[in-house]
Amino acid sequence: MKQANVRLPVMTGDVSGVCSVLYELGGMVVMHDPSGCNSTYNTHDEIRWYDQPSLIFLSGLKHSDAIMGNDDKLINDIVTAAKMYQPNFIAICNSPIPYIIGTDFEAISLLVEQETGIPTFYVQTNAMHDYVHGASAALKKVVKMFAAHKRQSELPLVNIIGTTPLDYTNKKSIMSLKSWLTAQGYEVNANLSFDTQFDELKQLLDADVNLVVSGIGFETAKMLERDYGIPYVVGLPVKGMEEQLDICLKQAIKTKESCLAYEREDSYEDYLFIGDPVVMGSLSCRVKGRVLCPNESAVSLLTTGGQLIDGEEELIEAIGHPEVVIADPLYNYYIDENVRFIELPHFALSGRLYRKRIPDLLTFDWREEDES
Amino acid sequence: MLKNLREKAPLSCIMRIGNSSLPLFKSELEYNPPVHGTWNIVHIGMQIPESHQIYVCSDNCMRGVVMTAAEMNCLDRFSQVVLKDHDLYDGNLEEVTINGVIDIINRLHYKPKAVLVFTVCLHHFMGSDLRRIGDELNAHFPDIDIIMCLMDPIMQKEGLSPEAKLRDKELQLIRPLDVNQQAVALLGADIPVDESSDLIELIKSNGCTVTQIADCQTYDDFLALGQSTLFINYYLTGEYGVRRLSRRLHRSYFNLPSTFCYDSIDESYQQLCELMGWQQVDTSKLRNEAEKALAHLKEVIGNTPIMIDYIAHPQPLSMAELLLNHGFNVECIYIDAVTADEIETYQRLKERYPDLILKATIHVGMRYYYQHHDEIVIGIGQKAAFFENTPHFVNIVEGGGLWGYKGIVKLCALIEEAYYEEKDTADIVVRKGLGCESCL
Repeated sequence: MKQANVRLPVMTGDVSGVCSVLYELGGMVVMHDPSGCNSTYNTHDEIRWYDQPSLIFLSGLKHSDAIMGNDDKLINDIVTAAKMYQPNFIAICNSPIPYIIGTDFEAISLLVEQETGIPTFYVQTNAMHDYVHGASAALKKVVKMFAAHKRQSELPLVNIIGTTPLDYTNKKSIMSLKSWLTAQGYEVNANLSFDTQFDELKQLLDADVNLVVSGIGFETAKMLERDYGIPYVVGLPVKGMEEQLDICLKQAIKTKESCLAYEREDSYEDYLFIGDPVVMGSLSCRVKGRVLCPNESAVSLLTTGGQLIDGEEELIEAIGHPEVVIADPLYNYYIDENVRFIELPHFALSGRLYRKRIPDLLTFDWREEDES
Repeated sequence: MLKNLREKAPLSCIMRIGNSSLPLFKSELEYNPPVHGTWNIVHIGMQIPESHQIYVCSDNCMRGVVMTAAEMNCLDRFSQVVLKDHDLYDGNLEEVTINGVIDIINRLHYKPKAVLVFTVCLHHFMGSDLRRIGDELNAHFPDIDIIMCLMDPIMQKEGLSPEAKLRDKELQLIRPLDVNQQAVALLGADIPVDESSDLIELIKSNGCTVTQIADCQTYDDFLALGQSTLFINYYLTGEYGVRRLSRRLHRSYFNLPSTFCYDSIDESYQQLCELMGWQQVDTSKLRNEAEKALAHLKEVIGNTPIMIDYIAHPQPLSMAELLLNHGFNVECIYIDAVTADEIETYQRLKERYPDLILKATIHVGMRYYYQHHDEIVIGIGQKAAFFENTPHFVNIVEGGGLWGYKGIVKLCALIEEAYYEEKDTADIVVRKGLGCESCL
């Protein structure tokens, strides 16, 4: 049965995705949910909770308030907290029970905004989708609300779109990415949204090109292309991809046309990559390996041979007979012991289990690992 | 950039006990501090040997429980049926649940003796017939004990907590066996009572054996609890289940909450001895030992500030009262609500020690609350350690197995150890389920 996982954990969910992508932007995120389920976001899906406070709260929804439709409590509690902390914005997320009883979050957001004067928006979640779905929706909302023009530069300006600790857990990846862009003659205009700050949103529209580095950033990049004519390039300058990505960025700036930097027309079964479509698409480029992606809405980011997988059953069916697999260690359980398995932990799957082993993605060379 | 608001917290989440009234804090938005040593329903369920857990819920709600299992190295005993949007529209939530569980059990690489099936808030709100689900699953697998459990936190503020319900469900697996008049079961909590406690000594000195869930290595060991002549509960969230178990099996039941009040301890012993027909116990010697330990501790730590939290022990107010009555400098208690069995203690503390500070832990105002101390501050419990930012803390949860006078002696030893030795607070408190394996 497709929905039954004997062993493979679900990935980070949509509500946690919202919290992760908005974490550093100085807003307040409210999960309308009882205590106990989605509150575990901070335990398994967030690396910053202990050292870097952010205003992410639960409504603590209780049975009688759900039954009686007591939205006033939610509104009053948000208003009280907002007056205390004066956040840059307020984002409200849905969860299963408010979802099935049809809570009117758009109206609640409007009332909160009227009461506080703080921009407030609803992010459509229901805890039944993956983190890319939630983070992507939240990122689009916050960009739509705050993106603006502010600056000029003699250098071509690049926005990095789609960084969160869920895909880029080791902060060195972000630092390496920024360094690489600078070394290629670009200036980083904004980074959304790990290792960032709210003001970067206010100059987002000054960019010449958006660099999409994960599934999370794709929908926002498409919106910025459609509404503001900023082209995007999807890819990551991992080992062996640097030159190709640089060419794509320059072409996009010149032609205003977007592209997948790791696009290719064929793929080979020998190398199997499982994970985020952009990270794995880029890593697999050198050998034209096949990518399996566990994110539900990433089909546009896959190239030839790529495949979406939903759950354990589809994973097992899709593995095939590779010689080398590059994936999170939790996938190793499903791989034949004779197959060479190269670990690349993915925080959105294995959480804290292998966090200390997550590398800088830009210096990670799986071929060296393969040879070792 | 985020503003540095640490050390600040609104008055509504910190108060003198003298100025407080019940309920202590107003219900508002909730903050979840990064402190996870208490056990959740996954940890509790894993105590049943040779059992398997299957949760039927949505992605984001599943994440916390499945990663709990992963971090305690128990993924091979944990499975998931992941609900999708269409399961709510199609009106077949019961079928999805039944078929998913059957599929998982059929695909397991081993045959569990018992399966705990957890349905969730969605089943409740969709009006799922949980009895039918349980009946069909039990009919499908007649040689496996299948028990329907609940993960429904939406109910926890207006009734039994999910932990209390799970402890009850688990104990429903126990069937009546021939009574062994020497068998006593000590149940209700996750952290076993110390073997050296005066409670266990008392039971053993009367020729009885004591079994706690942690002693059960096999499912048969667990089922053998059904031969007990007496069931003792010693933890708040165990009371409902252990009492129902003893009623169902027509056995004696005794509620023995862990407390630090001498008179309450003596009264408990007296009542237990009366119930079992045992000779009354003279506690004067034990009491002297506790007094000596407290006096020694006072000599060592003097006026060092002590902060207590409610996850360290189910009766934090009783612990505070004992220490305050012996001259210790208990400055504050981290506590979100006063439980029914501590209301009298609360009233006494309010009268005698009105300057004692009470601090909430999940209140929205505590998000940036984080103390800095130049001098040693002792925390009793992980939340106290986190908020006070101290490496000097007693690392216990759920009472830590402390019971009776020897529990007081041990508490003194743990406080002394915390005074002298530093712990890595940031590494310890974020781990789930203190006492369980942690793969972090």
